[in-house]
Amino acid sequence: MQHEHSELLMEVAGETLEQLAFMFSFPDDMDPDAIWEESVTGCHVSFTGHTPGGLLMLISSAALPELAANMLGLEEDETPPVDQQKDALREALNVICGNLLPRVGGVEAVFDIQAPEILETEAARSMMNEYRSNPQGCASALLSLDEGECQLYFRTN
Amino acid sequence: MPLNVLIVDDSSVMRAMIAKTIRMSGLDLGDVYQAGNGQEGLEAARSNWIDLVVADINMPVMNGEEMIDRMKADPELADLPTIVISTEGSSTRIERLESKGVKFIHKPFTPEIIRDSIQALTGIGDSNAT
Repeated sequence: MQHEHSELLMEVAGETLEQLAFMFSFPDDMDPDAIWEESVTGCHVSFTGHTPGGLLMLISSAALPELAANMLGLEEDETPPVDQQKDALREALNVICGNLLPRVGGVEAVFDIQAPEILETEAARSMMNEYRSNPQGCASALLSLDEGECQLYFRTN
Repeated sequence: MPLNVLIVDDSSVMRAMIAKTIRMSGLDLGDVYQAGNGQEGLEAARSNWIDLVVADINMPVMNGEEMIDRMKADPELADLPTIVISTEGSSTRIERLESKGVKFIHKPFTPEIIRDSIQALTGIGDSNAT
């Protein structure tokens, strides 16, 4: 089941990043802990309803300006302010979650997605450890981006 | 006739994306008003000449569905064409929204989907069409 969800997560995240932010991603077979060698920004969203749970996204901080700039359609030499970079990350995770849940629970299932929250490095690492502490109940997707990496962890309670 | 649009979404990035996408779609865009939640959206709709509302559903303070319900209860706003752009995936909720006369677009979206939905809802054609 978790393997199936991991494949779905990989697919939905890849499609969303491409359609929303013109960012192309590839499955990342590197050590999952390698992402922590650079600065990381996290974002977490909880959901209730049909099946409660959560979705955690970790992204190399170096990839955030590109994510936001592409979503905003800025020129290459323009860098969006940090608050817009974080807003872009929240929105990207919101869209990934919104597209993932119907594929997990079916289109008739009703979910209530809470507002995504930004997690700074230590809080993000702590949340990741919490997700990883139950590997049987956690699906994951590791993606390689042009600028860094992106990891997603999904669980239902 | 330029289309005055009110975009209601709690994400400033998403509001900017929607505005840019509408501009890219070739429609004749007039003034663009923005609001961060349903309450602000209602206030903006009541104090400006708006031809089209584009709203998210999940927002703080007042969500998009409550804003739409209040618009429908207000004779001045009841007939305002409204598009919901949301991550909502439940067919039950989408059907409930559509039964209120709004057009639903799922995130992520393309300029073509936005253009076609606006044209279908307002009858306003593509200003670039030959």
